[in-house]
Amino acid sequence: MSSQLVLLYRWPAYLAAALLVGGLGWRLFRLWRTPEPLRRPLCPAPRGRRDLALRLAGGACLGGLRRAGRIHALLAGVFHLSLLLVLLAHLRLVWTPAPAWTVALAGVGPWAGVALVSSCLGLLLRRVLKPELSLVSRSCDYLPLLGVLLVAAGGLFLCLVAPCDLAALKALLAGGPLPPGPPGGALLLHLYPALVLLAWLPFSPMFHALAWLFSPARHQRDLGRQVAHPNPWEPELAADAPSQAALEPGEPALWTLEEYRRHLKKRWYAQGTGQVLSSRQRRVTDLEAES
Amino acid sequence: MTLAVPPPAAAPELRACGLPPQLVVDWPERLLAAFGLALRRYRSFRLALESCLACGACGRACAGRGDAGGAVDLPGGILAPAREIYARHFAPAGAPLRRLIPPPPPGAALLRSWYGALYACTLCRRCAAACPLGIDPSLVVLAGREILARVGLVPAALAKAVAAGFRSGNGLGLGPDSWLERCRTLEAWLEQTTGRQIPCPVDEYGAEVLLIPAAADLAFHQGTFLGYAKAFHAAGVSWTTSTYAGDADNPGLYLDFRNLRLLNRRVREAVRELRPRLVVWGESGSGWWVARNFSQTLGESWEGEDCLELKAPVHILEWTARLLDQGAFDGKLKREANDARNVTYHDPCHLVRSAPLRAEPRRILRACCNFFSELPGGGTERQDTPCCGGGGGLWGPELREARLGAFAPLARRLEAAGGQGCNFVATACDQCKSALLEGMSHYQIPMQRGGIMELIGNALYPAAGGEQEQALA
Repeated sequence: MSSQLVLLYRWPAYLAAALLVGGLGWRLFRLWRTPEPLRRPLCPAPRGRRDLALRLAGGACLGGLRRAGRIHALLAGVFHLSLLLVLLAHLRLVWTPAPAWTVALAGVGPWAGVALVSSCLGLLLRRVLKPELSLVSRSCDYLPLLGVLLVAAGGLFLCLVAPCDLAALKALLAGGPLPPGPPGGALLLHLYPALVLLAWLPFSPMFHALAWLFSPARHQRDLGRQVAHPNPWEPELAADAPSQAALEPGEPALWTLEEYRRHLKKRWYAQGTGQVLSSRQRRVTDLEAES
Repeated sequence: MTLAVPPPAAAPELRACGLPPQLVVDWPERLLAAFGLALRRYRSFRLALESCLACGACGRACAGRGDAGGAVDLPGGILAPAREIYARHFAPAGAPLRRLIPPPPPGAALLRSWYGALYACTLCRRCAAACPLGIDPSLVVLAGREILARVGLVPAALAKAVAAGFRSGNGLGLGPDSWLERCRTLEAWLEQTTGRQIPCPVDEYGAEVLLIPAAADLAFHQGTFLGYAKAFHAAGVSWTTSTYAGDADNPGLYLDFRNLRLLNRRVREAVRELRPRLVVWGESGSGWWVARNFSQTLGESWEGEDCLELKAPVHILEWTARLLDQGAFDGKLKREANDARNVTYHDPCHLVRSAPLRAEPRRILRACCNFFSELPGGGTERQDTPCCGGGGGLWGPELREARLGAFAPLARRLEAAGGQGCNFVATACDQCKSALLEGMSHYQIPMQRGGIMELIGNALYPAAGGEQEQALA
């Protein structure tokens, strides 16, 4: 019995958690290692660190949605808020002893679940019904929504119709002594899809949950003229220059720097200029003449 | 609506841009290799492909989208081919499966649709302002164009402009003699209309200011170029243009990183030859984006240029607004010279979302025009400013539909402005000026268009003959 419990509940949960954490770490590291060679923030962009922090905080509060369409913003807003509530309420299953606020949140859990399911359905409907959206949608756009819908519906069923033994589940997840029997209820209907979804999160567009923090258009500051922004692959380009040798005979010649220098010399010579002074030198001579 | 696919460039232009002279034979492999390289080189590109949900928020903002009159259904339609290639060949979730069954290489239909979509985008960045996830679709477009350039697929008009930058120092292909001759013509015109000797110097050593005008200002929008000359003359500042780096626009931006970098480098080389104290950029939106934000990045920093007082480029509007504040034009501005014009202002997209310059043009317009009002029908911030359809390197007759489609929202606001009595739309970008000319004649909007410097030039030294630009053209 006990080995069955470990095999059916504990190991899948640990495997999913490992894939989630490891996958997120690997994907974020790769994103962080990828350079952005140019400074091209979306303006008006902040100049100081404080303003930048405010901009990112606004993004964390779903500020980006205020420019989206009304229905889209409403559905996505309700979706993310209810998802947050549901996830916070689930903390009581892995946090020992469970804080009072998570237990209190569990009271609104079913309501949040209903909101989650309906906003999920709404987002799916929107994707199917808008032709310009369904045209560009791929399976990786539908599957996360379907997955969350399945998990949330299973969770509601588990919560309202066939509740399981939460203490047993908590003991199973905690890694300590095993409970006498399985948690029962409709748990597996909810648990397995949830674990699959969590394990897949870093490898799907659901990765946007953390990836948006790395968006150059949002996190770069508007200091294009003030601050140098070295490009790490600049050395690969150093030898690259427009070359006459690459052209075929008969093709128009390039206006190279040497050509320009010859042109300037000829021109200045024709003007009768013996020695040319730069503006700075000229300014010094003017001042001397004045004094 | 089917996409108009611009004709690909010819071998001489592609060779001058350092690209393969035609579509390479093994393009599927080369395309995948270039795609992988772009994923390693551009965080913005990787981020977009890894986290885009195809939620459609960008599509609402896009001026070029189908129901707004444009050629593509969505920026999503632009991202879709890139997402398909990523999902098939690069997505980590599919990696084990790919080992077992290698996916087929991208086909010609995908290449064609991606090529068409990439060159239907005007790079106005309205979509970037709308994206809730902080993705910038325009940067995906730029990376995509670089990938296609590496297999030798570039529109003819764009490759021609970039090659012209290397062959003659400006995207229009005006050689040094032609440049000089045009400046002399303008000087003669200035003397005829204002009765003053106002110089338009070329390749002078040691002038205070090296002006990088948009070459189109010299060739098509001469009113703006005359405005530069008049402003420098009124302020008593010596200035020069360079035939080697004569274009504020950098068409390399629309092509790939290599050509962007090499064209930008010419400005610094011209600085070393001519030794000015200040580099002033002319009226150009995308050009100012490159100058302001990338000049310190593409190659070495400007700190080493000892002749420069300010180690970074300055925009002509910043410079003029500064002089206005310091009183350099006090008593010289005759605002009533512009009284025949009821002016409104179109914000060039890159002067709002990429390299902001919003207060200065308005300050100058208020100083030199008695009748100025904002464009009605919406705000002037972020994604509220409409797109003129002139950016993004969508040149040539094949892409006229795409340009005019993106112009449609602006046309509606211009009509509203016309209803309020405006008869002149000022803007600070040569590509906007060309697009406004094309769009306003197509949508039959009876307004004139011109640069901000044209208006202040006219207020400084009113032309006796009236509309200078029309007479010159």
